[in-house]
Amino acid sequence: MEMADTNSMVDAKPLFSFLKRIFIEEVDKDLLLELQQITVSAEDNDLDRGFSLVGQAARANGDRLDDYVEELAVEFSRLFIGPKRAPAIPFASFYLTENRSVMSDVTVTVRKQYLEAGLAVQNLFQIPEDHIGFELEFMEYLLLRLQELEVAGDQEEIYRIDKLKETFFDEQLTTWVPDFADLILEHTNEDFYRGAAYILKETCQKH
Amino acid sequence: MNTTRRGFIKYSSILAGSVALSQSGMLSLKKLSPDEAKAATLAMDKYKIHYSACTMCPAECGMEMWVRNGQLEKIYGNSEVPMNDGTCCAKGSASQQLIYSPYRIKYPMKRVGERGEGKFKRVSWDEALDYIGKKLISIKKRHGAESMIMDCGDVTDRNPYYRLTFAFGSPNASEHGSICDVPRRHGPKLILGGKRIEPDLMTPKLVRQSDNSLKKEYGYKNKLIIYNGWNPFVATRIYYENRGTVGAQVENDCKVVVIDPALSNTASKADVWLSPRAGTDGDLFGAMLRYILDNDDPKDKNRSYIDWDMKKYVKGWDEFMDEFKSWYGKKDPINGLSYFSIDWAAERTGLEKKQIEDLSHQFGIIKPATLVWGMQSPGHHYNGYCCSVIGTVLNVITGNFDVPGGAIDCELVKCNKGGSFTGKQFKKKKITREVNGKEVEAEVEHLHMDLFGHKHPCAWDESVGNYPNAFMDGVDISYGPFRGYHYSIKAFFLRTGNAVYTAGPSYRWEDAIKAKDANGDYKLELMVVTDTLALESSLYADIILPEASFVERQSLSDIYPSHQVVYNRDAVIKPMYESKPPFEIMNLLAKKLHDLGDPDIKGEDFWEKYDKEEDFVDEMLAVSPGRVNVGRPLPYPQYPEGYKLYGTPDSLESGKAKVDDKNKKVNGTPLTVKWLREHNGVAIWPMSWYRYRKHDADEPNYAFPKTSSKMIEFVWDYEEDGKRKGRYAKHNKKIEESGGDVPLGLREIGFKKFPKTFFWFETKWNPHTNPDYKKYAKDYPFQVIGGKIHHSMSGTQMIPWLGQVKAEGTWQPLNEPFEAEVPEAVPGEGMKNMTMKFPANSFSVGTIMINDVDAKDLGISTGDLVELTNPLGKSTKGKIFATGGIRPGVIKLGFGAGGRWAPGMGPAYKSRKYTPYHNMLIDPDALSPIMGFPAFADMIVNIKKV
Amino acid sequence: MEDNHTQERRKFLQTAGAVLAGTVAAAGLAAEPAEAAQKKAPRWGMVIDLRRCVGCYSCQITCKMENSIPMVGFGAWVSTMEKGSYPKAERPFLPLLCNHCEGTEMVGRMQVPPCVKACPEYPKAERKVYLTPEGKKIRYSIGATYKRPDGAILIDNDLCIGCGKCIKACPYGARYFDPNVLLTRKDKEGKYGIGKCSLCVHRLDQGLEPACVKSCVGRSRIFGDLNDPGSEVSKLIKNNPVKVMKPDKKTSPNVYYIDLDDDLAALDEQANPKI
Repeated sequence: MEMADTNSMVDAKPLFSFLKRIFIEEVDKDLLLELQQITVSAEDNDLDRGFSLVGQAARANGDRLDDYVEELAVEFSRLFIGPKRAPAIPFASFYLTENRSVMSDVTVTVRKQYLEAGLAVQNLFQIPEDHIGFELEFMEYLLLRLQELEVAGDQEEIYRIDKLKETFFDEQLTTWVPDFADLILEHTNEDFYRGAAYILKETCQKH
Repeated sequence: MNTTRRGFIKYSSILAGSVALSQSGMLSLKKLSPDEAKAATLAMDKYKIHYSACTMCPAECGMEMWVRNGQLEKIYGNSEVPMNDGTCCAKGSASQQLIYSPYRIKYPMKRVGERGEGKFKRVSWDEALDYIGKKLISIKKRHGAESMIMDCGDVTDRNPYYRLTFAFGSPNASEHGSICDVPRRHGPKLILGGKRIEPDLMTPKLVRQSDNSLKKEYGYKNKLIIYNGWNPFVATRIYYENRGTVGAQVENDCKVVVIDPALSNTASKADVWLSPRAGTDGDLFGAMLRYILDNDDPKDKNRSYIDWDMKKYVKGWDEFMDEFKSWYGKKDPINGLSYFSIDWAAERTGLEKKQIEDLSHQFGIIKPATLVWGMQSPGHHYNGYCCSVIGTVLNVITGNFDVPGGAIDCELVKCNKGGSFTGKQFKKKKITREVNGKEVEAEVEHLHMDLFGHKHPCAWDESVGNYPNAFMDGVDISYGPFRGYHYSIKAFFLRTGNAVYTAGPSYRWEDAIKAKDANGDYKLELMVVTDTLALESSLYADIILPEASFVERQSLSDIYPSHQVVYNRDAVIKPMYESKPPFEIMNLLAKKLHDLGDPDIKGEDFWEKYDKEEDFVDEMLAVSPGRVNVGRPLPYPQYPEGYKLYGTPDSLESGKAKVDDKNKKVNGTPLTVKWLREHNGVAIWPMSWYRYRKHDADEPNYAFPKTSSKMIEFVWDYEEDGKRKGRYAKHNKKIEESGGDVPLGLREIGFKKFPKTFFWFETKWNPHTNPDYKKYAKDYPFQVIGGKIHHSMSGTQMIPWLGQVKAEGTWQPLNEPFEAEVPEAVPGEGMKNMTMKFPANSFSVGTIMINDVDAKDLGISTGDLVELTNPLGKSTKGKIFATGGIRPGVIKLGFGAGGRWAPGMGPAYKSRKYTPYHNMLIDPDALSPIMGFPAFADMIVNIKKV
Repeated sequence: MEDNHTQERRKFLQTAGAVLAGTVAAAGLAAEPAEAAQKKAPRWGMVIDLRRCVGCYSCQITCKMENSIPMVGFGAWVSTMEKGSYPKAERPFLPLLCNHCEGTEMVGRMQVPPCVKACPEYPKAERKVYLTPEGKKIRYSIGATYKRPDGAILIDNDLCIGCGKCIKACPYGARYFDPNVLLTRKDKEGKYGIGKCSLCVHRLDQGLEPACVKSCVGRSRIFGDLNDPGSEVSKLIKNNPVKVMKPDKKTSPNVYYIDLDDDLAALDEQANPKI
């Protein structure tokens, strides 16, 4: 990725904020109400496709939002949690290690990267750090930090954080998240999560 | 600018306008202070060693676990724990694949579909507990607290759940022991107050020397070990029997005989393999006893079988032998022969007469010897009680009980633990119930569904196999003060067990759990499953709670030792996801019940008393070791013989422990978690033998074993000094007080009361021994036996590494091709997730072990799919593995190794259509008469190629 | 009371404990007191006493755990067979691993096994230093696959070109391509590095026995110094009839078997994929 591109990725912070919210926990009514406002005129790429699907899904269920929130919660559990074999395991280790276990070296690498930015997960050692939601939140934080640093003009720190962000994006998110998104697409008929998967896939694609 | 970049900017600006969409704040990460970040960085990459224990199987070996960066990286045996002496089996080594499995239960889940459908949604702990709490309180108001059952599955860490159940007001709590090997344990329990007779093979043993020092002794004294239906190398549980058995063979020229219809791995290492028909273990033991009694001659060195000196330590020797011999005059209806004669046994077992005579003679003459019987045989037969009684008697009369190199009842000698933490005191609470129009007041314990129920009032281990019947029909109390009371079962808690799959045929469980009343509501109003893995039973739960895995919770382990050893199972990593350890679940649910207005639950008994796990483990340790100072060499010559010992090994050793003559106790410094952590995780007190004798005279010490007379009891209901004594006495009293109302179980075998001494009855579904089933012999020519496959137990067979091992003929690489996602390295792109094809016959699955000649006669060979059908019309399918290593006419299946319908089982789930489900074949109504135990090993089938 | 086997094991563990406690430098294993003066490198070897093997597969899984072996590869594995007909049936077991052969062929002044001989990237000019338990330094040549002075046959995937010749050269099937190890050399011929039993040298160098020996449930695996006549392995070899795998291949293995079943050995069951 060119440096110029990297810098401009700062603009994408809200996208990561949005995705992290979707993949850390179940959606609520407020979120669906806001999504109803999103309309897409032409579907040129997966981002368009994705936002079109989530917007339509939110509108189509506009008169039954409470039920829809409940349905999405069940689907969230089925896809990502279990107790049946969840089809889309939301941890990087699952995709990047031989035995599909979680809490692998990958987890530790991610933990170190969080530490480099002065962060740690709130419940250390309980939920592995390479959860999709955490990784997206980390990306969100790094982009936010870059915005702040640019205002402050700390070039050395900008360089460091930017490099961290670049490494994290290239070595983590792009390596497994598209596969994760494909699994969601393969295993759900729920338009909301299909849309979310398209957005996620495009956002975490190698550029 | 590419399209993606344009899209980023476009949608980001749309999202940025909405708080709900883009400003949820930090949900999972937190900022560290510079100091915190520095400390965290310094701790990175360093190993910390924890001493803990394994519970991948019930052997619970001592472990050394290496943790780095909060992650469990290496697992080894703890060399200070004599159970495993530093070794670690395949399954223990594979623990990480379970702990870090992506298929763990991670959050509390609430059912949204029908029971069994498997539709759930994640809920918060508070929501889950609130749901459970409100249901429980409502059920208690309408049906009484006793209508709740707590089935703990694992014995391990059951205590917090038991405590909560008893405090809530229900006496109905059970664990997996009730569906494990109840008839096997019965003989030792009646005769010794113990459970399991095992060879003296644990090493090292800490032994008092003549110079008063303590020394770790290695080496073996055993000369003969007979394992009947016991396969320690595969159903590994008494872990030291692995290295001990082969060690005694190599180092002490010990002879090993294995009696098993199938060539188990243990049999493959034996000097002699005898393969009788299934379910004739008791017949063989009976013939051995008769041979020894008939041929014993104290004057002939070559026939001096019986240690007549043992009579001094036995109560009821003559009564037992008279009753046993009274059967000689009876003719067995199936063959017209005299009971327990060699001819009779040869006819029934299918062994040659000479084999039986040789076995009997050798067991009589070679000393020290141990006769061991296992789970897979007497343990799983309807009449296994008879076998375990005779086996215990054989060990005693030949002078092998508790001698060096002989037979040790490990239950009698293990460290005491638990104390008041187990909550037994709550069962003494007085309550009132209206019985036949009258108010009756008595203790909670008198409502126990089994001990006072109409079926098996002697079931001290509970009858989990009967639970489905109780869900359907409720409980009839026939004995004790509440006689005549009826109650329903409305709430079922299942914790780390998989009763629907393992505790009898699943269809009986499914029917009962899904049964609805006239209003369309489930009769069983609440089912909660607490577990680490999502097994079959969880699919039926209303609420699933995630329990911390065994390395994430703390407690104690001390299974089956030769003397008192207890070790700390430390929590070595934090509970993952939102899982919680049992003690925390106990406190949270207790608090919830209290907050919802349950008057029986008090803070002082739970959350105010136990702040952290160490608090309750310390309370459990306060009664350790809690065993008497007996045997040779006397463990502590500095203290009076026969006094109960309490406290750390070093405080007792120092000689400064306080002697309490009034209560016959020696009180050292109480053992604590802290002490254990400072001593490699383990406390060991000295070994001794002849623990039933005075240390300096050949007389009973009346302090050991754990019977009412503190002697070895061959009689179980007798009077002495005006007192009713013996293990069955109180149960017979219940029957007498009811006016002679015979329990259902005893009625089945024509008994009116529990027998005073030796008894005999036939097993079920055995056409070779029970005339009732002779008619099935032709159409159902194969007996089915089962066995635990260590590598593929109910939960652990989802571990990929264990699919790469083979076990006997029941866990073999006979898979059909399947796909699984496996990451592969792609140059330039790093690791990439790819779908990997597992070719046929590369991954082990549950199989059917069959004799190769039988297979040939049926026109089938290894890998062929067959259907097994029993006389009840039930069937299961599986692939066969043909081998010379099994008796013709017998087939063997692994327990828990087939037909898995829980998707969380991974590869095992994928093979469900061609792997046999053993429990599908067993008779759901064959609950053994004394304790209500499912007759897992009494069935016959025919075989058809599919 | 204690047999030699046990004494040796306990000494091993004492050494291990000391190292773990951080009080002893990671210099190697303690030698027999009587032989403490010996100067040459140990020659590590293993005796697998099949009278004591309970067929549990612990070695196979422990190795996977200890060395992060991929699903498709095996550093240790167990072979078994159903033999004979009822009632004379048998089920022998045979735990296998790299034999860490002495070898009979010479490369320069070094006697090496076929796998090292086959390696086009051996020897390299660079030399490394091996520190004996007594602290004596011994220089030795390295390569993509090479032999350490204590007999361990090791690999260095930084030097490997992925040609697979060592895999083909090993008569025991002890080597595999590791899909998780990507080669880094620009002139590589294949993608993947080589995996095999390392004799757990990372543990040996800390004074600990190999993980498969530590875990061995039946105490069937006995490990020690074949150069030391007082070691348990030397005594077992002296006092028992022992066999090695495929003696016809003249590889001079350092892994010996007591009570080997010839039929099972002849089966030559190899867990690693053939290439």
